[in-house]
Amino acid sequence: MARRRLGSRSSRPRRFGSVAGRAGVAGRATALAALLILAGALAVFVPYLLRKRTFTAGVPAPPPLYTVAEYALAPGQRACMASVAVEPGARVATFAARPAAVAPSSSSPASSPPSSGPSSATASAAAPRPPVELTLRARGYAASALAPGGRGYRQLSVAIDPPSHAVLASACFVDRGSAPVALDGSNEARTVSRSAMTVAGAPVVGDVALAFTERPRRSLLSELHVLFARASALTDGLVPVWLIWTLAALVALGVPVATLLALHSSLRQDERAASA
Amino acid sequence: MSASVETAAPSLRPLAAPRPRVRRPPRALLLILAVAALQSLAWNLALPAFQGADEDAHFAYVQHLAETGQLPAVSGNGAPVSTQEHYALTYLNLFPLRGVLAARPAWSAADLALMRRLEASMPANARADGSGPNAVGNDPPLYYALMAIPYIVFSGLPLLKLLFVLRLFNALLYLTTVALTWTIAGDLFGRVRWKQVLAAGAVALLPQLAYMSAVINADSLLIALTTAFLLCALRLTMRGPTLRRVLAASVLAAATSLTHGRGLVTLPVLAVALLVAWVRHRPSRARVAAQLAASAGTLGGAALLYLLFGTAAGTGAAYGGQVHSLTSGAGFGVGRFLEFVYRFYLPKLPGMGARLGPEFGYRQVFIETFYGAFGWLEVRFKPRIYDVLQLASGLGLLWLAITCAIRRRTLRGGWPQVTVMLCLLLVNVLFLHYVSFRALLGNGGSDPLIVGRYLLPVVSLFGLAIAFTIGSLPRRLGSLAGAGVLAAGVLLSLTGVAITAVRFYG
Repeated sequence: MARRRLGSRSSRPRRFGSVAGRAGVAGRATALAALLILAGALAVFVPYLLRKRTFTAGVPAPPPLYTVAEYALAPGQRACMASVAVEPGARVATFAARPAAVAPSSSSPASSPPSSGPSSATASAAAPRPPVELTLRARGYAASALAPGGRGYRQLSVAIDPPSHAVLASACFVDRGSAPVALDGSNEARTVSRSAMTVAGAPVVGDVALAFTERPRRSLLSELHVLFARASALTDGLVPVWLIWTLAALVALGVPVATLLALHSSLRQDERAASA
Repeated sequence: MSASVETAAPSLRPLAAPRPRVRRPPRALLLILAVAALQSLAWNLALPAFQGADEDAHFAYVQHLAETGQLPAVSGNGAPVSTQEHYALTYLNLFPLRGVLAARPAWSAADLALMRRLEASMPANARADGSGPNAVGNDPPLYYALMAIPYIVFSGLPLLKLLFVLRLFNALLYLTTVALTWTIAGDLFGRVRWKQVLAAGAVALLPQLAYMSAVINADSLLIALTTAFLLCALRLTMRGPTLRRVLAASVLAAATSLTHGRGLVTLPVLAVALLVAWVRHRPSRARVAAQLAASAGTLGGAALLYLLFGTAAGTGAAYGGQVHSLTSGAGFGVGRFLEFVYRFYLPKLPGMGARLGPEFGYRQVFIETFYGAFGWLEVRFKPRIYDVLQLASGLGLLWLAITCAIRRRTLRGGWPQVTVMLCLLLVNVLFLHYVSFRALLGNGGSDPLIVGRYLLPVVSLFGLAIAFTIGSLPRRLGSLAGAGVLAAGVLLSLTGVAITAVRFYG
């Protein structure tokens, strides 16, 4: 019994037009697909690859997902995080600080996490914010930078001297003013990093959110080798960087080209079947 | 000369039997599979370890099963992941990376050196001590048992390398899904290659599916098995219910049920497919009885296997209590459920009460997390891309409805296939609504639980619907429309990989 096919008026491809005309169906469809892909690439991928942007050079401690934890420091006190990776590309360190109304009598012990959310210890938005010094130390490497004081909450970015090769450093924030300061961080189990932290020498739960960025702003195209090196590192070197370059070229060209060839080949095959 | 030989020794048998002709796979299929393979490789590199949906828990399940031969516990006071995985999640900052856009993995040479030192100094049981509670410990073990094979073969590799290799094996399930969609399209539309390319290409170029191919997750096997089941169920109705076909469909339905709780949706579809096949082909009562016995025996055997699994996992309840939670609890009412389903798709009507749960519906499930939301759902396309996809999907559905109306005679002639496909789609969608409704009742309306990737087991229907709708156009116009769909798929897929790579490494 002949089976009924869905979606075709007969079980065989319809015959239509001359041989030249039929060959044109495959060609026209493939050309249209190629044109659309090319137009899309020019409209989307080329600007995406060429737009200048700031690239991350590492995030030792990310910000929280839901609730900000504040780590308050009295004048002269320091909060230190261990095992902070600093790379040669790290030129700017970014963290957030705000004035704290009440100076902490001592550091928060690990068993009692610091205040979080809109803390009562936070001063008014216009209150003066003391300067904060960031120091980075590892074997054979030391750098420091001072974020000047100001008023209210601020995302602070300070220029740092990067190491010549990647190091695991200690990062310390020191209140260099005469008023207490609160540093933004996370004590959520979900976002606490590996970097153990102490405030005034006592261990606390969580970390101060800290990120390093590269400078100057660059295009994605010029930074691809860095991205590929990072991807390679996270395969533990199983896929070397040169192979990622090869695969990237294969994917960028191979996916569209193979799709076009599949479309063209199928239409031509149907045409041959129809004319047979 | 040959004639004389033949007359002299007529009884001589040829030295070798003629070789059976091996059918080469069609070139277009190989090309579509190449597209899929390239995409999967790209996703494998763009997505750092454990950044796929629940990948940490799924890997922990595979590892514990492969290392100890035992399933991880659903509850208890043990470790949810092994010491080795814990090291990677902690010291490479892969745990705080999950879902937090501002976070980055620890990628520097110093980080990697630290990880290598830790792995070198791990205690002997550091790979085997992730006994649970495992977040996906409720899942049946089929996928994990399958993935345990490459795990054991490559177990000498350090964790990051091992995970990369396991993802390559996982990708085979994606390629299988694409090839099966091609085959189903061939069965339904005849050997019209461009329709097969359109159906398989639409599936291969769906960014969410390509992304899932690079994530250790039982969904990959569920998707491949459900697609294989659909193929067998369709053949059952189209070619007639032989014992072999009934067994094949039953084994696949059983396998999907042993892969994930969501695989249970194939069981009612199997029943419908058998009924339709018997009505359509009218076999003798004796044959029907034999086929029914074979099917029931297969499913019974699977249930027995499952009971053994339940005992081994230390859970007496079906699917770790998930089935019980779906059939018990207060607050369920048919009217309320229907209103919930209505509100999922359409705006509030006068007289309707407060919505159960957050603003979550068609857009979030059928568009955003079906076409593409990557990582732990934090990597997304720009909203305007989802707007375009929603518009295109709406127009596509309208176009499909019009095509169905125009081609109603053809569809009526193919009613057995249409019934099976509709049944699979509706049961799947209804099941997801029911699960979501029950979850919202249970968690006070905080988490609707379902996401678009739960629709991927019926992804072949997505490709087939596109091929049917576009394939019903006049051929010249249809081929151009198909070219447009494939071009859009290419752009969307490559964009998905690019934004994910930049999110994690940029």
